[in-house]
Amino acid sequence: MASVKLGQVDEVEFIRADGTKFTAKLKVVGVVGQQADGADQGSAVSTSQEGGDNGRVQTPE
Amino acid sequence: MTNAADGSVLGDDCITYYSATLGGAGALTEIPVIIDDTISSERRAVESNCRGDAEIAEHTGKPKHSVSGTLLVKRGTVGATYEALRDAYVNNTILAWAFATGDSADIGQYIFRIEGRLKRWEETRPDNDTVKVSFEIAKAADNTYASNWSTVTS
Repeated sequence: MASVKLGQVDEVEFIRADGTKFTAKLKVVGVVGQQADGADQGSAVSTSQEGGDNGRVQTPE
Repeated sequence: MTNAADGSVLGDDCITYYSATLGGAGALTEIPVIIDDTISSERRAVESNCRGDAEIAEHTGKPKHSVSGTLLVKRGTVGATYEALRDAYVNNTILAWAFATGDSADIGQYIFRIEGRLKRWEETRPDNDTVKVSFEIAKAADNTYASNWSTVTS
């Protein structure tokens, strides 16, 4: 997914129910699909034990 | 700006915002009265059953978000927000949503942002003065804005 990175700061305008506006800076602290080092996650993979796979079920993504 | 109160939690002070502008760029408008905001996330999972294992484990994959809440509006004067959200449901329009743990002008509040469609619109009209709309939001498949958590820094 694009457009959002961990640590980025967005300056966002908010409009209250009474119509007043203000701006806040939002620092992104968690993004779906990103770990702290920016690596992708979400792929479930099978790991084989030494000596071969013992019939472990693999997850298609 | 003031700091968020210590120990602020999801509750009465939570505020939900929406915007028709996508990509995290739009001004977010407060939805006046929403209760029971729920941000539900669950990863796809499949059981791992290896020969010789003493117990069943699970592979977990990508998370799926499902956000729900209840909008309260006054009978007869439902207001512009109700009409905007109802139209978004009727037209299957993607909206940007932000769920804040409190006043987003306060440093330290947490905000969850997602772009999605209103998947469910369940309007109940009990006696008395309030119309309740229970809704559910699903992440839009044709949208690339990554759902995210952020905190107010200033």
